Amino acid sequence: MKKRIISFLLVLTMLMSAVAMASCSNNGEGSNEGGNNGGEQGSAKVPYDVPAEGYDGSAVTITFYHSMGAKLQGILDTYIPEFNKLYPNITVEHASQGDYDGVRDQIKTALTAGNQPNIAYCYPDHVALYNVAKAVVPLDNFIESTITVTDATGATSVLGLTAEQIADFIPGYYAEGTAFDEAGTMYTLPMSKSTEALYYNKTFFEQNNLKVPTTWEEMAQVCEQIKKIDPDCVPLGYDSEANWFITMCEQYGSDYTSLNEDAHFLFDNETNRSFVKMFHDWYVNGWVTTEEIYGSYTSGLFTATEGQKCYMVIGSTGGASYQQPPQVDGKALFETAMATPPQVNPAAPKVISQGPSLCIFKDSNPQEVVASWLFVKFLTTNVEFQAAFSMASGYAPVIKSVQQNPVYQQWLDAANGINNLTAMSVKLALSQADAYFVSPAFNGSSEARDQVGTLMQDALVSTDSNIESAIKKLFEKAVSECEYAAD
Amino acid sequence: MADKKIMTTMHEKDMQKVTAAQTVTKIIVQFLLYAFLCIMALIIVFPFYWMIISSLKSTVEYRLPIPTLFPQDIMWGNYIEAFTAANLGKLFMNTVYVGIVSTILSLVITVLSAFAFARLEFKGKNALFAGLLATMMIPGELFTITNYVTVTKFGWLDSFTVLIVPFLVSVFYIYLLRQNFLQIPNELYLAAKVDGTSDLKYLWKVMIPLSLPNLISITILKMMGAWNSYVWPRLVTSTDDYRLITNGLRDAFTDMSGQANIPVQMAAVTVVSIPLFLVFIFLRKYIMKGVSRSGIKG
Repeated sequence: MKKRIISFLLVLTMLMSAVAMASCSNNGEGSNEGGNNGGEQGSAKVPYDVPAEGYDGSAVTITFYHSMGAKLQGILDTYIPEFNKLYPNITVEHASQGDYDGVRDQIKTALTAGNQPNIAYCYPDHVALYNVAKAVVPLDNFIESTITVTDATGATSVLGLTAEQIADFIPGYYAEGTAFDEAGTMYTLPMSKSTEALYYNKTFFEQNNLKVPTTWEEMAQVCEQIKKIDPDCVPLGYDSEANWFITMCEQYGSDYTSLNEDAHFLFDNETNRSFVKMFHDWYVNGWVTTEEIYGSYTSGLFTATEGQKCYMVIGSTGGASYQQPPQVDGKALFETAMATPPQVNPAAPKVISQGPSLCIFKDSNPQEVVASWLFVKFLTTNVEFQAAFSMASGYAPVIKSVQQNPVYQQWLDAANGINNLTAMSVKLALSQADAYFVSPAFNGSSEARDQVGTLMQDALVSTDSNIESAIKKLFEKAVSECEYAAD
Repeated sequence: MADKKIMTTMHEKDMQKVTAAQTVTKIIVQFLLYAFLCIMALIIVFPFYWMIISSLKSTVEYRLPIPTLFPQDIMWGNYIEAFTAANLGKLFMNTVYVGIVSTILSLVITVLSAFAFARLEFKGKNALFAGLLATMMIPGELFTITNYVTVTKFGWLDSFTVLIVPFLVSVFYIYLLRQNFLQIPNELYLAAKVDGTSDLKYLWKVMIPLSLPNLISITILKMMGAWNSYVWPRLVTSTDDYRLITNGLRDAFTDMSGQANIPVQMAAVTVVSIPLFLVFIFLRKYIMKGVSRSGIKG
């Protein structure tokens, strides 16, 4: 009898769990009822019904999830009162959720309970994920809106963005918001950006009459020269294997991924296999290492005072402070300089765009969505905020007019390769404004990124005697892993 | 006689040989044993040593290709930065509050439930207990999302309630204590009843004192559980007003480029480890008992 009771209870518990999970998944869908379509589909942009009255002045509280540290939150806290001078009835609550993945994971869970924030830091991959639940507000109708909004100072402006405001955005950054469907529906506005740069030991380069490489052929020559000067060194460190692969695809114009649902993963092609083989040979020559192979960010090698060193690093401009030369008795051991990473075609440079954008989530209260839009618009178009945020974060501002701000100009002018690499990196990021590209974002694009990073790493260190065949297998494996994850 | 003497001497010599061989073997075994224990102790202690020296290094030194075993320049400033960057004081107090309140409430619930299942007679007692045990077969992770949806609907997010209430009932602790209560002879209960003692008084005066070692184990394990919990607090709190120390340690030291300031993070980890270290020093007898009694490492 006891056994029967136990069996019955076990079955009952399992059934209850199944019902609970089913209801949970229903909730996820239910939370987006009334929403519009999002993500990959058709050739028409996804619409959003902006309330005809625009912002009606009602009291709303909006929440903003980000990954800012204490310093950047201080900047945000300074500018929220400025926003409230215009819209006193909009209360902005914000909270850091750790790193970018922390924000994504928190929102992914919150969506199951319909408890998502109003605004969030995002990368394109994250938005593609949220859009599986059709949770993100398409911004085109907001951007184009001509509804008049009167703020608390009595001034009037359009709810949307003016032509001047749109033109003020750095085009590559602005275009990132349209990477989600073939129609180019805008889902995000850029907040603050970084890119990759070539950091090099300027002192060493000058002492040895080395030319800063602008192409990959020149990079190979420089690596060979450096290896002869210092046989124990690894001349080049590349921090992100995935960025390297994706950037090379863009520079060669070869396929990486596409928004076409039937053929998302296109990176297994002859061009890509051949550049991977070339870099494998570089690794065998001892010319290059990467973050995963070295075991840490390669700035460790770049700033090393003893043991193995490297003299060039291709890494994020956001991490410029880590490339600052070490000091002994207050004197820097060398000077760091920065340049655009090597290109296949220097006349048409391509560098990856990184850093957070902002997306807005659907909500049952349309006024919360409008208030969120006003706040996003404020953060992305306010020159003083963008300048302060850039100086505190070391990330580039997303609007060009910031460079005319006198305080910001002064900050940029103080850039040097001894103890102010942050300003130098922002300067470089701004000078590369026309070179930015973004990859298509879809549910599975983050898997593609992870897989090509692993592929690059495995190919570099492969000891297979038939390297072409080994690389071919690695490509096939990466594509198959991507397709498996996407199913 | 002479032969006997010779025999005896030889026997003694053999005995001495055997004893000497035994002594050598014993010394070798002891040496190997201690060598093994020393190596294992080093392996266990090394991460703590690494944590402490890393907390005193500069970022540049931490990232050296050949790691240093002692900091070149001791950076005490990392500890100050750890406190300011992660708001450690507030997170520490939150964790202590949640730990103490949840442990006290959990103990009350566990004791009363275990008493009911061990001593009281009511309809469906065994079926109910079997039902409770059955819930132990389902991994806790499966409940995470459903619990999240529930607490969201209750409006409990970002509160101490959400950190304490969902984990007040531990079937495992109830089971542990019930088994302990069952070992207390019925005669004591019946004798107490004859003397006119109420159930609660019997529980308080007899059962709790007799089960004190188990209760101490449960208290320690519950406190350690609260101190170490990460996933649930991470999910249900979004401001430092309610976050716990583990979340602060994980999240507060990564900059926008995704690079963590490991020396400062290690300084924070060192600070947070000290209370647990002290608790272990002073309560190790009970902790070891608790671990062996419950069969888990807490």
